[in-house]
Formats: sequence, structure tokens, C-alpha cells
Amino acid sequence: MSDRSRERIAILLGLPVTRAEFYERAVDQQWDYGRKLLSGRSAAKAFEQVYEPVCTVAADLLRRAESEGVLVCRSARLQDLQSISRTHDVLVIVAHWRNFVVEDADLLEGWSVCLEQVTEDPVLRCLVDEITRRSGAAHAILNGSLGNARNLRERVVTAMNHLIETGKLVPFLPAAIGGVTTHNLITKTLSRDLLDDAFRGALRRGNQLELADDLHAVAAIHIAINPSFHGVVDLSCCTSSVLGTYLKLLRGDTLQVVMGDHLIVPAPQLRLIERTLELLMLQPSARYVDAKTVLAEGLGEWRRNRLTAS
Amino acid sequence: MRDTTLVAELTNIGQELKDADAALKKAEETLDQLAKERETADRVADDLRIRASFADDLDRVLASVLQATSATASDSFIQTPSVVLSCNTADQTSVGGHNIDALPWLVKQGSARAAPVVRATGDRPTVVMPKERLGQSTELARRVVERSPETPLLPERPVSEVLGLPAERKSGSFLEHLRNRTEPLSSGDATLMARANECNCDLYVERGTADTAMIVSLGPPPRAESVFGSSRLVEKLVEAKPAARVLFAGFSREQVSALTYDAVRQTGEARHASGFLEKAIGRTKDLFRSAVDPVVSVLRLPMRPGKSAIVALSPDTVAARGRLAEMLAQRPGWRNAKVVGGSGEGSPPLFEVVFPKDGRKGTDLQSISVHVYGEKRDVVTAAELSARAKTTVSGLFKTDPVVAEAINRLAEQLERDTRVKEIEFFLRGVDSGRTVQLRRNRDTHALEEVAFDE
Repeated sequence: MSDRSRERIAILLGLPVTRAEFYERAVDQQWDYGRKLLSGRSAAKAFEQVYEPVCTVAADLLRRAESEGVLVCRSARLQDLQSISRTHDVLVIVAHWRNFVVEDADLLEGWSVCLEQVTEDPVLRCLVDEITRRSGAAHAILNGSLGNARNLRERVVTAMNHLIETGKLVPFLPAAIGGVTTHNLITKTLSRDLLDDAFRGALRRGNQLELADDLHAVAAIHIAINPSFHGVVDLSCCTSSVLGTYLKLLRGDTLQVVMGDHLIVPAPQLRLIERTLELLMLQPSARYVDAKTVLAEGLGEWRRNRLTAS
Repeated sequence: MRDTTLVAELTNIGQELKDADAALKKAEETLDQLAKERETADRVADDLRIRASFADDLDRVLASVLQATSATASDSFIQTPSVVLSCNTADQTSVGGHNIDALPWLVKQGSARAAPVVRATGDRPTVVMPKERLGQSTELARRVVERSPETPLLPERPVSEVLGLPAERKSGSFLEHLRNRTEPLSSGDATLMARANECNCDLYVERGTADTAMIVSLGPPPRAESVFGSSRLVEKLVEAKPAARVLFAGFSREQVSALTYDAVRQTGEARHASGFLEKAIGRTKDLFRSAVDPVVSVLRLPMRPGKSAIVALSPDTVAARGRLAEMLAQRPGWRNAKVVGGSGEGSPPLFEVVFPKDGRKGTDLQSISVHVYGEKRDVVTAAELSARAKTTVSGLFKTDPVVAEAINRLAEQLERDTRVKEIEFFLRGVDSGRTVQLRRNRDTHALEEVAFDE
């Protein structure tokens, strides 16, 4: 076991990394990432068709981490983040980011009642206007006379996503963000938050990080990271710049955040982390951030060269 | 006629028997399943009973359970005891359960004029009351049973108001934080434009508070914009004109390197997406495709405003020079370009075709570098050229043999293990990653000049 005395690295795995863990999570109806993975398939089929490579790479990562003295927290929960951020310098969080896109399953009991009370909320009024614009009379939609219940839900979900995508909810954002421009990922995130608030619990909230115990709001992640933690947070999750920007907003210069604007694919992402640990073994004086950055850059260049060559 | 009816009846009876048989089989299966589950539950119950009954210290067990349950986070405001410890007073090895007769009453709508009443329906009480009071069944049922006089109803109030709680529960969302902020994110001040004007640059970027930055484009006309988040800042840098002189204030050198590298890379991606660079690469390949120089390699470097986007590697100095001269003669749009260099030894570029800024309309391509590797082919690799050409972001160098080997191994492994459609998606994402570390020097507002090609 090599001595990583310069940086104490911890990897928190919010995703299942073995077949057993996958099956255990698959029976949980609330597993958001699982809902996407399973999508009508059996757990066995989803594992075989999609998830097995993730576990294969994860096994390599676990072996590598063990030999390097790097802590790996499997089935990581929020309280693990809390305790590990007290004792480590680098937190690598591998988890699912539930983004701003509204899905049919997000409509919970009482959503139609919220829409009937539109006069109270300008965001809901905007939503009903959008439904009306797209499908005719809002009343007819809300009382279901334009189609069956499934059809109705689809229309509402489509209208919500349209509002988010097109920035039509931006005028309802708080004054604090007035006068500044921001990336469209942030705008869409805030738009989804507006809808979530307007539905008062009748819409499953978006913009949350899914750890093994539950989905967690950005504030919960911020609170869980120990206030005295001044290290690196590697957000290995999809569109991590949303959570990253939030953390930077609250923590400022005290945090170094590794983030990106794109979706990620778990297996290669775990492989990248595994190889980062390997490089740290070969270059013991290097920092985690530098090792991962140089590998990511090298991969990017390799891709560009490959494109050119082809 | 009668026979036909009889046959039909018999057929019906036969079908009913079949259905009954199927239902019976299904019931049997369900019973089997339930029996198995019961068996498992019994085993668990036995285990628990034995552990609990023979535990030395039941208080310790209770304390442990309470400790474990109290550690569980709860959003509710009323915390009721959730553990009941049952003990035997008789000498028995089992402990009974606690039966609570809590069969809820039925609520039925009655006449609007009639007073609420409680009736027995089977073994369940039924409360009959007017439609508009259906939501008050508990209160009305109690009053009917206790025969207490009706108290005037108070107007309904929200639960939060009754309990004196905040109007809405905390969501912990990004939006909530912004709503609660007392200060706006915008960080511009009156002297910003004056500071920008002193800089002798095209674009002035000054770090503000709360992950914001002020970007001043000195135009004409001059324009200031406040941006929030590093993603947006990179977007703005990508929008900057090629060869723009950018000045950063209040950022660390490391941070500027990361931001500009991201911008450069995204610029390249944008060009790539438009097909511009691919066409240019194709043209360059065509130029060097000759009998004299069949082994020339044409590579794409990260697009950097004002710098080479394409590099051609040639093993033959004379041939390369000849091809460059031909190229310039053949391409009317490139007449104003000139070949520079050519005498250096081992320090690329040996030749560089430089296009004047106002030369060829519609292209951002500033130059093509031609590196003649000759006998040094194994030394001058694409990775090395790129590493020299661009900003160094990390403390490690791709040219380091250990790092280069690690990159190669990783790339090969990914190509081998990852599904074809996933790898391009992943690589594009990896390519967009960045590290953000902000060290502000707000006291001095010191200007740190860092060009794109530092």
C-alpha cells in the first residue's frame, strides 16, 4: 500500500457498483437513476444490457483504491459525505444528478388541483397559458375531455419542459439574479425550481443529487460538506456545473471544484478515476486534480487526433 | 330448440367449472407463496424473540433502539415515541402483541338539512352528515357521541399559520438561495469602465463577488456585462473575436489558464461542428498529397485564435517548402499569405504560413504550421506539439513519458471496453470538464495579463 500522505482522497460511490447492490436498489421504486435504467426492463435484463460494464470497471477501481490507500465509500449516503469531508482533502463524488427535465412520473397526487388554482401563482398561470396555447382550451385539458388521463399528463409535462427549455419562466426568477447573464443550464435549473415550488409538493423535485440513501437538494450537499473542508470536490455526475456553481457561490475560494456542463457515462468515468489513481501512484508528488486533468486533456486530444485521422 | 338451450347451458356450466378450477389453482399458488413468506417471517420472528427474550439487559436494548431511531432525520415537528417495550409478567417464552381497536368509521353524505347522526352499519359505525361538512367528520362524530353542543366554526387557517411556522417548507434549492439573498449577484461599479479603458485590450474580465465576473468589451461601442458562473464566463470568452487581447483582473494565473483553455477548446469544437476546420484540413491534406511527399501527416491542434489550427508533419524540408510555395500559388485566396521560418533547427514551427488578418474573407484560420520532423520523427509527436502550443493547465505534462504512457493506456482501454456509441459521448463530456479554483486579489484589483496562448 503506497503512502498518499500529501492528499487524503476519498471516493464516494452513490451508484451501485456490484450486481447485488444493483438488484437491491432496483426494487426501490424511488431510485431515480434506476427508473431511467430499467424503463420497463427487468433488473436482470437492465443489468446485463446496460450496467454490467459499470461494475466491471468499478471492481478495478476498488482494487486500485485499496492498493493506494484511497478510501472508497460504497452506497454512499449524505452522512458519509458529512463525516468523510472532515477527514479527507479530496472528495470524488460519483452519483446521479437528477436534472431539470420533468418526467411523467414526477407528477404526484394533487398536481391537477394545483393547476385548478392557477390564479394564486403566476408561474402556474404561465403554465396553463402554455397548455392552452399548445392544445386549445385549458379547461378542456384540465377536466380531461381532450383525451385520456395519460394523454393529459403528457401534455402538461410537455408544456412544463417547453417553458424550461425556452426560458419563458426567466421573468419570474428572483431579483438577485437580475442584471446578470448565466449559462442556460443554470437558467433551466432555476426554472425547474420555480415549477417545483409552484406545485407545492405535487411535483417531484428536480435538480437533486442522488446518493444511496435518497435524492438531496443542493443545499443539503453544501451543508453536508464540512465547513472547514478546503479541498477538492470532484463532481463526477452529469451536468455537474450546476451543483458546482452553487457550491462556488456559497463557498467561494475555499473549494476547488472539478465540474463540467455535459452528461457523463459512468463506466468510462470510473475508468478515468481509476487511471488517475494509477498515475498518482507513478507520480507520487502530483495532485489528484492535476493527474485527472492531464488524463482528461490527453483523452480529449486523442479524440481530436482520431477525428482528424479519420 | 330445447336441446340447443340445454347444450348452451351445459357449455356455460362447463366454462364456469373451468374458470373455477383456474381460480382455485391460482388461489393455491397464492397460498403456497403466502405459506413460504409466513415461514420466513416465522423464522425471523423466532430469531428476534429469542434474542429479545434472553437479552441480558433489556434497558440497553431499548436504549440502543431509541438511539438508532432518534438519529434518523425527520422533517416533522411532532416527534412521538416510536418504541414500545413489551415484557412478560408470567414465566413464558413469548410476548404478546398490542391490540388496538381502531376500526375507522364510515362517513356518508346525508341530507343538507338533517343534523349529523351516528348509525351502526354492520360492525362499523357510520357518520352521516351534510356534504359541505364532510371534512369535519372527526369533530362531528365526537360531538354526536358525547352529545356536546355545537361550537361555532372558526374560519379555516393554514396549518403553518396556526403553528406559527414559516409559510413554506425549505426546499434547499438553488432558487431558494437566490430568493433569500439580500444582495444582487451583479457586481459592477461606477469605475469599472474606467479601469477597463486603462487596459489597452479588447476584452476586460474582472472577477466580482459570488462567482460573478464583469466582462467589458471595449468595442466600439464599449459594452459591459455581468456574468454568473464559470460556464457562462467560458461562453463569453468563446464569443470573443479571434486574436482578441483579453485581460483578467482579480483571478489567479491558474484560474485564467483553465478558463482560457476551456474557451480555446470550445472554440475548436464550435469550428469543428461547423465543418470549417475539417474543410481546411482536407485542403491541407490535398496540398501535400504528392509523389514527392507521400507520408506527410496532417493533424488538428486545439483551435486558438490567432494561432495554428492545423499542423502538417513532413519528413522532407525541401519538399515541404516546395509544396508550400505551390500551395500559395494555387490558392487565390491565400495570395497574401507568406511563408516564415524555415531555418530553425528542431524548434517548430520550421515553416509557418501566415495569413494577414484581413486576408481571406470568411475564415478565422490565421496560419498553418509545417513541422519537418525528418529523422526526429519519433520525437516530434502530435501530443508534444499540442503540449507546447497550448496553455499548461495542470502541474503534469503530457510530454512526460509516464503521463503519455498513462494516457495511451487509458485511451486504448476505453476504446476496447466501451461501447462505440458511448465513447464519443463520454470523450466530448470529458473534454468539457474544468477545474475552478478562484483566488481573488480584490484588494489591489491587480491586472494580470494572460493571453490565450500564454
